[in-house]
Amino acid sequence: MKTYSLLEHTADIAIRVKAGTLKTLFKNAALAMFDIMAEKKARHAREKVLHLTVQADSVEDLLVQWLNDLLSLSSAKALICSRIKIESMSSQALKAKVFARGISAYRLHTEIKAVTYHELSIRRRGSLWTGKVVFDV
Amino acid sequence: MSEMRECSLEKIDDYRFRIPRSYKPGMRVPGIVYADEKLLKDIRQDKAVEQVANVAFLPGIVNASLAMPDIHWGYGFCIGGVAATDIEAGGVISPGGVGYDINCGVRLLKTEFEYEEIKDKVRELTLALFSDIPSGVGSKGDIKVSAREEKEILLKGSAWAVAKGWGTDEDLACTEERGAIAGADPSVISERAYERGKAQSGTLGSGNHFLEVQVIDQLYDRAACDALGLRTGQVMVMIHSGSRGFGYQVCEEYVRSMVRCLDKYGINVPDRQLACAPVDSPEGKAYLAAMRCAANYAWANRQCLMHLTRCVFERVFSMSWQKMGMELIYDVAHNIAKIETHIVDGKEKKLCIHRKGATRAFPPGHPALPPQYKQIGQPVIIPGDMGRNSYLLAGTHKAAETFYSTCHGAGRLKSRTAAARSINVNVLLKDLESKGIIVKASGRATIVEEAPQVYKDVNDVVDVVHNAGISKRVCRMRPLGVIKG
Repeated sequence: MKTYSLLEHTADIAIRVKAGTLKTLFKNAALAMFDIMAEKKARHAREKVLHLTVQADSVEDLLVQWLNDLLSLSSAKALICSRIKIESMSSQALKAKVFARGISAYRLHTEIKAVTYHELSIRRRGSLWTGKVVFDV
Repeated sequence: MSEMRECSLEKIDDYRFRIPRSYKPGMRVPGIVYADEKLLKDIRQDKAVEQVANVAFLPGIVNASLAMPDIHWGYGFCIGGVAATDIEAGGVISPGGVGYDINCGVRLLKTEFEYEEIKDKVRELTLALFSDIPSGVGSKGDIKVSAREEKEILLKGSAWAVAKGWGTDEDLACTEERGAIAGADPSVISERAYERGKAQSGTLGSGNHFLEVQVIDQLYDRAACDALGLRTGQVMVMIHSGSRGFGYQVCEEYVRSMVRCLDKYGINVPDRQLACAPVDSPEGKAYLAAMRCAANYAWANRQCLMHLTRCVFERVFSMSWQKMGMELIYDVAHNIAKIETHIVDGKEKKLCIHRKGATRAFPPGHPALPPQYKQIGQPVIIPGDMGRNSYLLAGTHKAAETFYSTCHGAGRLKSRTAAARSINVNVLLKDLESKGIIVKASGRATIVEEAPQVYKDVNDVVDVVHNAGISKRVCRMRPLGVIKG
């Protein structure tokens, strides 16, 4: 089941992500970003494990920073993130284990330049968390 | 857009519409949109007008928040926007007002070939260009640079490539800032930016970046064309690329730090993507120094791409590029912030001009122009879409009203999702081929997302800037061979 949907935006790509917890929302947003970027083609590519720590002033900023750090890591190391385990998280910091494969194991679709603050939102209604993020492509 | 308020634009004349300050409390100046009634209908479809109004909140902004006719909805700033801030009056600089692809820009070179001479070789040429010029998502090139060399690129820009033998001094003379803006400081660049930039020199990238073989199909200004050595039927090459991952990283890091400046300097903007700091603050100065590094990286990149293009032509036609007359007409940025002197209310002011999806268009006689362009004004290169046209324009004196700025392209009309829903790639490629256009791209999705129908008609956009007098038509090209990322 898709955990995100694409929203209309003239020049860029906007997504809405849903999850039952804030932790899962962050994980789903990251996996959505990589799903837009690439599609797996090789079955048996080895996974690398990376450790990421992110800090920010607010939960919204944390989302942007988390996604931008993943994006920058992916671009610098030529990796696509395949799985994520968020080990600990508050509204201003998170620690995650990121599993990633080399880009040669993927068919690359879209270059995401960055994650923006434009129309950024995180909302909770009962047990449903939703987030909106706009990517510059 | 249900959440968008109907914006009451006031008609100034046939090509200019005002967003009054009363539209949104907090606007320091009005907004002015360059458009005609036809383009305005499209412009009103998304949130671009709202974004023009938001930019008018920037501290120190002078005259107006300006939008060119290719304006469309971006993030923070609209694409196609110009904002000038008065440095002495505490004017700000905003990384979002430049964009992630710092010094995304275009260069145009001519050849001495007539279309008739090469028409049977266009397919071979397009395939050869596609094979030799690295393109596509995260593309890496054969040009590998050491950390020391990367620092040199950030300081020397195009001259770094020329010193390697990949160009000439004449190329530098025909590049904005001679391909290297002063004030770049590699010490403010993060390790991550270096890492992202290292492998991407001499690569085209993806999305709307392209390399096109074109033919001139219409002359508008005979005298200017004569001065530039241009005639109908002449084969040209246009290259559209930027600072790649290096620039994205620089922008991302400085947007992040400037979000914190909003509180520090008591700045109120309606969208945090407009995060900014006074030009004269430590944060503003650091961003300018970093942005200039990325701008120089982009100029070096386009110089490398031009060198690779010349090499491909040499192989395909078994002739030196000099013999083929492959001279650079001009290279100009359309995502950049520049410190320039302009007249505001009768007084000379040092301004920070943000051009985000807008092109500098200096008039005849401007001191920054090389001698051969002093008479005709700065060449302005306007790429269109892969199925219609692109333009060469020239700067005018009337463009003083836009801080010597004009449009930068056709401007997007439809989203990528709308394109994917409605366009069949095979039908599109067949249609383009029937018009004599050969397209090669790394991904089929890119071809759909960049289809002609997702863009405004560049002819309409250029009509507005020409008729409004903020630049003038010189000649028009149509595509023959298109390389997309």
